[in-house]
This record gives sequence, structure tokens and C-alpha cells, in this order.
Amino acid sequence: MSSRTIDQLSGALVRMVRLGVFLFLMMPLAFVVVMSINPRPELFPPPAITPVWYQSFLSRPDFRGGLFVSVLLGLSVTAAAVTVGTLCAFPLARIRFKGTSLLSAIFLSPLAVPQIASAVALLNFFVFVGVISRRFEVLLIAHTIIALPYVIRVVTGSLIGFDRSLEEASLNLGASTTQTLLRITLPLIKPGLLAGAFFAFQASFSNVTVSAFLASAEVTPLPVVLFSWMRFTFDPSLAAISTLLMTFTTSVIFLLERILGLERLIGVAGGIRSI
Amino acid sequence: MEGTRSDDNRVNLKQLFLLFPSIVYVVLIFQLALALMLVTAFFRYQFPHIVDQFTLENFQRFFSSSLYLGTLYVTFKIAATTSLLSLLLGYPVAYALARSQSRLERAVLFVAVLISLFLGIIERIYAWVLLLQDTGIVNRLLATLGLGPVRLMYNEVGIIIASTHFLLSYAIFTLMGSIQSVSPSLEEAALGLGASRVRMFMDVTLPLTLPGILSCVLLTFSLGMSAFVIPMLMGGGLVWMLSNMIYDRVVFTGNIPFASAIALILLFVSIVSTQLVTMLVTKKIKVG
Repeated sequence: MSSRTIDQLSGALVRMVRLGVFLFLMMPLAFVVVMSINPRPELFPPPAITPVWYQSFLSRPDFRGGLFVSVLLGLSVTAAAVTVGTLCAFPLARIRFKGTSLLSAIFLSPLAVPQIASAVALLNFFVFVGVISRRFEVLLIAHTIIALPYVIRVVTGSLIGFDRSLEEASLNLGASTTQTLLRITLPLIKPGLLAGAFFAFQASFSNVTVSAFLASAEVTPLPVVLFSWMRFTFDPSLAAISTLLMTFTTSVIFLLERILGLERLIGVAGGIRSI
Repeated sequence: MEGTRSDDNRVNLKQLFLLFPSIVYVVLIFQLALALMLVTAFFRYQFPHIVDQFTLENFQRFFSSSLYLGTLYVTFKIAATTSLLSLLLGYPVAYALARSQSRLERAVLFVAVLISLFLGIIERIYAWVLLLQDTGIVNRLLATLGLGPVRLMYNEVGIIIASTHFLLSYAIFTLMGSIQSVSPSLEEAALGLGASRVRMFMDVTLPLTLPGILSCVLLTFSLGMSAFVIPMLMGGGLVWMLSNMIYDRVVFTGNIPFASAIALILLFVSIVSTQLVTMLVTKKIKVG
């Protein structure tokens, strides 16, 4: 066999693997969407279209309760993580001192620790301190710890690429430090703040592992409700809620793409996740 | 600005206070919790209390019992297989993302990989349940061909498939970064000198992306080792990985010291992997 033939064969093989991986990643998700409107789960393709699984999801009080907890928790975590993370990003981005890289490593450490280990450690800690009965607050603190590195990373990135002469111009023209912060600095790093907020919300809203250890019967975020439910049955109303969650995730990705641009989104997402 | 050097320093020092809230969350709660877990792992547990007595028995129990060593072996086997599959399937996609001339191909692949990266674990697992369960789509397809049914869930196969689906996006982004750092002109030079594309890949691209390949393998391996939700639902209680053992000990017997010991073992694997990656990446920078 000539090397030309080998090239063609291996090229074809590589293209097949690519197509295969694309289908492997996307096909299962497409099936979920189809099954969520399938009136008879035992039949495929669906003989008709039905909204019944969406209705049955919305009519279940435990799902509705879980959704309420998750949204409230997600918004609180976003507020806490964006505030705390942005405060932290300023000195990290602007002061050059020995140990900046060590500090960054410490602040990003919640991402480097396996979530199962964080879950055990935090549960043990909250029991030890004696606050475990305050479930919502405990979940809020735990999720904020997990969400913080995303915010710190994105906002520090925005501040490092920031032209500080704009701030100096504002101060020289007589604006106060607060005015400069509110009218110059924050608007200019808005993309980073928005992206950080989305990352933080998503980190909280989709968390199962840490939540499963810290939640109680009274305060249970949606993914833990679904997780417990799936240990016993795979009801098609799970297809409906999965479709809604996937739609939400996909919308967030497209929004982030609009805010950050594709290259930076990939840089942030890939970089953050592979610590 | 007329600020002197010492003014700048004073401003800088004042700014350090902004770190305080993060230090509370990350150091005073998170790191302290990890330290407390380290200590807790060396305490004895007598139902329902932790006994105030230093002991090595949690680790001795783990490393002398065939139950726990067997679970460690299964966890290792699943993580290693998943890691290898993610590398083999991920490399061609990462290469296309880094090099493809077709904007459409890149955009389509990017969207697929990004969706997969952000996808929640619950939706992902439900998708695979629909496909792999005994009455699932794959088995129905096999039945129409007169084959099967094949057990694809509640065993290691199901866990490996779902874990690979989960880890592929991590693998692809790690590999893509590594491939992008290799200058395309090196590949063009090899082709210009008459090398076949296969030869170019084996002699130029593969050796130069070796650090990326090792990072990818270590990252996916350590994430695979500590998988929790996937083995819980795809294993259905029939396949146990270390995380499931941790959850079981915490929830059903309240034995936090023993759970801490197992969690420390997973933490150890993850720290060693991260350190190896850091070393490999710094080495790469020195060479390049």
C-alpha cells in the first residue's frame, strides 16, 4: 500500500471518528427532547405529540419545591459570589506582590478538590461548628465556595486587559473614586461580571454532589430531588424537566457567546474546568 | 497622576482588605474544613459518636479489606478505561477544532463540545438511561434486528459510557490547547519535505502534543476516579465506586471518620495528578 493510500484511509477514519463523537455527544440529548413529547414511552418514534409530561412535572409538589429552592439558592449564590469574587479580583489583578500566584492558587483551590471530598469536608465542618440545621445558609455558603473561582477567574481576566488611563482621566477631570468606579470601571468590566454571574448560577443550579450531602428533606434543591427520584424510577416527566434544563443551559451558552465571544468563552470555560 | 511611590503602596495595602471576604470563604471555611477532614480521618467512630481518640484503624480497615480494595480496583479500572477512551475519541475532534479550514465544521463541533461541557449531570444520565436501559432505544433497535437484549446499564459498561460522555469535553479542550500551541508551520515543513500525513502526525504532532496528552489523561482519570452521580445512577447499586461508598457510610451509618479517610484517598489521587500536570506543563514551556 502506498503512503498516499494510507493517508486517504487514515483521513477517512479520522473523519468517521469526528462524526461519531459528534453523534455520541448530541444524539442522546435529541432523544430526551423527543421522549419528552412522546405520549407512549414504549413506542419510538412517537405516534403523536403530548404536553402531558410537562404538566405532570409542574403538578408535582416536590419538583416545584425543588425548583423554588434551586432558583432562590442560585440567585443568592450568584449575588454572593459576584460580590466577593469581584472584590477579590481587584487586588489580584492590580497589585504585583510576591505570592500573587500562591494566592490565586488558594482562591482557585475549590475547583482542584474533587467535589465528593469537598462535600464530606463541608458536611463534617458544618456539623462540627453546629450550624448544620440551617440548611439553606449551609448550602449557600458551600455553593458560593464552589462558584467563587469562576467569578475570580473571569473578572480578574477582565481587569488585567483593562486600560487604566481611563480611570486616571476620570479622576483628573474631578470625579471621585466612587464615581469613577461606578461610571467607568464597572461598566467597562461588565462582560466579565455578567459571564461570572452566569458561571456562578450554573455552578449552583446544576450541583448534585455537594447538595446531596448537605440537603435535608425540608430544603432540597431540584437536582437532588431528581437524583433521589432517579434512584427508584425513570418516569418520563424526567424527560420534560431534562429538556427544560438543557434548553436553559443552551441559552446560557449562546448568551455567554454573545457577551464574551467564542474564543474567550472557550478560553474561560476550558481553562477553568481543566484546573 | 502626582502620586508618589509611597502613596501607591498605601493604596495597594488598603486594597488588600478587599481579599478578606474571599479569605473567609476559601481559607477560613473551605481549607479549614479540609484540614478538619484530615484530622477526622484519624479518629475512631463508635455509633453514633466520634470517639476522641487518635487511630489509624480507618486506613488499616480500608487497606486490609477485600471489599474496599476491590472497590478501589473497580474505581481505578473504570477511571482508566474512561480516560483512555476520552483521549482516543477526543484527539481527532480537538485536532479539527485547532486546525480545520472549514469554519462551519469548527462552529458545529464547538457548539456540541460546549453544550456537553455545561450540560447538567442529571439530564446527561437521563439521556443515557433512555438509550441503554433493558427496554431502551438501543435494545429495541437490537430486537428489531433479532438480537439482544444486552445488559448496558447497572454494570461497568453503562458507567463507562456515561462517564466518557461527561469527560470528553474536558479532554477535547485540554488537547485543543496543546495542539494549538504547536506551530502549523512545523507540520507544513514535514509535508513539504515529502512526509505522508500519517508520518507527519507520528513524527511531529504526536511528540509535540505529548504533554497535552498526558495532562488530558491525568485530568480525566482523576475526575473519573471521584465520579459520584454517574456510578450511583448508572450502576444502580450493583457497581460500587469509592464515592458511593463514601455516601453510603455518611448517610446510612454516619461514619464520617471512615468516609473522610476514603475522601482523603481520592483527594490524594487528585493532588498527585494536578501536580504531575503542573510539572509537565512547566517542562513543556522550558522545552518550547
